[in-house]
Amino acid sequence: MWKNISGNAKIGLSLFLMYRMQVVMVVFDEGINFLVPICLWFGLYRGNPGLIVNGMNLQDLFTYTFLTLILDVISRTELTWILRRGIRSGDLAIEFLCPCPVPVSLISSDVGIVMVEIPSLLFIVLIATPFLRPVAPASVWSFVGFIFSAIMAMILKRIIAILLGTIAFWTLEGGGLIMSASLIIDVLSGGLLPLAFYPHAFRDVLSVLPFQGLVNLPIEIYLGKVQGNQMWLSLLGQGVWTLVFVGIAALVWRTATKRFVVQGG
Amino acid sequence: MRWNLHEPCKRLYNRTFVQGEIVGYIGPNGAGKSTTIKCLTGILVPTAGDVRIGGFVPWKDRKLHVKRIGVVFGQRSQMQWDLPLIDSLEFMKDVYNIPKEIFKGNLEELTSTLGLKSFLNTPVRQLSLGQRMRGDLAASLLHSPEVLFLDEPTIGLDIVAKEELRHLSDLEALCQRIIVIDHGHVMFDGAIDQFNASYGGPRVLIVRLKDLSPVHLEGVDSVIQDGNQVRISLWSETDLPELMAQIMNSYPVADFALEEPSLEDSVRRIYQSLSKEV
Repeated sequence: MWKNISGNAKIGLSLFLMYRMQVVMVVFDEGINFLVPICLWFGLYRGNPGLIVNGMNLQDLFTYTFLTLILDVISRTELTWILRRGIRSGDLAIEFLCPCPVPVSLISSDVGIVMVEIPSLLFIVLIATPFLRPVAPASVWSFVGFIFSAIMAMILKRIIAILLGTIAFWTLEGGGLIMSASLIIDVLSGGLLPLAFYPHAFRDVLSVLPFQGLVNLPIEIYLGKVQGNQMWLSLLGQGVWTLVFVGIAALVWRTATKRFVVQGG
Repeated sequence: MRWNLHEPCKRLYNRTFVQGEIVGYIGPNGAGKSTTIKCLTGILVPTAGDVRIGGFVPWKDRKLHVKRIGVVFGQRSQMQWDLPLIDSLEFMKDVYNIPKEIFKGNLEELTSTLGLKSFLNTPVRQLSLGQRMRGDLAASLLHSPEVLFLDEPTIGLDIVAKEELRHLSDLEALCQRIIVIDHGHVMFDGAIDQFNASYGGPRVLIVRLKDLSPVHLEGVDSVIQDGNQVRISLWSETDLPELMAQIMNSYPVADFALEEPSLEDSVRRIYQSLSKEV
């Protein structure tokens, strides 16, 4: 199985590197991605840099933006659209000839592409740091917790991506549904706006859902807003949700593949 | 290369296949050929019925099953479009966990047999259809599968490429048994010569005369004359040497040829009869 996974990762990486301009544009894209929220926060907090809203000051928000970008880079995935295209065209049939669970080979190919995102990560760290001046982690344990949480976020994002992609087994064309679901998840995860800015009742609901584990939770751990026993409990909760989603994805996949019709003959 | 099954294989429409058998599966468009292969390879789950290949149920024991089979789909390639052919073939080494020495040996043999050397390092998107098909054939054989499925491997190939691939795989010569299906029903299951005898047209003797003498013969199915060219359809029991002697003695023969019914002709006839029934 490991050779299968590493083989798929190698292929994913090779495919991405075939087109060098694509790699360059990804790095350029990151530049745009960090400028827009920075301008937004600076505009909203202008004139009062000491202003604290729902426990977040301007420096916290800059750090939030910085870490959101990093999490976005490592969690970024095209799995949903790859799966949808494969189902619509019938090319997914070829994946079934591989002696490896199809979701595993798709994810491992996707992870190969993450390695190409390293230049983007370096860009963010080298170029964005002097501008954003992100704060250091609240403590060593906060940093350790952030790393664990980020890794789980990376896995959970891909499991959710596979789940969204399986919609196409039923609907064939699920593009609109997939885009809507992705946007909702972005909102619920804190990817668009820190959850601290949401109404209390809504925040309480979101705190028990798995989506905050994709963005908000890792960053709150980093900033020390969730620490000590609360941090470990939150990480445990994130781990449990990840396992639950793995189980759901396995069940949905097994059901979905029984309905698989190879489009195009 | 010989690809052998280790144990009795599969039933299909209550059919059983045995070790070493090479079976041609024929049917008109929409008959269910590709669907059957997809069930046999574990891609599709049938709504009813049972398939066992070497003891495995393809869709239930998929991961174990696909390690023992090779598949070529004429309409879909396993190759990575943007990468050189060799990258895709080396990927097979990882996917099937092929030991290095075995992979190297198989790759050398397949490169030589299929003539891959000149385009191993060419991106797949730049290969011709015939080259891609040879690449897919190599990919399907690298792990020494016990069962090989070929679904329309010559589709889209021009006549020269088709003949090259036939020469390499020599399907019609190797195929001991054919099964003809139509919408899930087995129309024929037996040897090729039996099929040709049942469904094939008559043998045709073509004679070119030196002049326009009208030809009259007995003991044949029909005589069609067009100028100095005469097409004589023979009954299966026609004594050909005697007929030839009769013609040579009676008419000024410039040239002659004998047309045997081909598998393609027999298939065309059965398809036409099936479409008439519809």
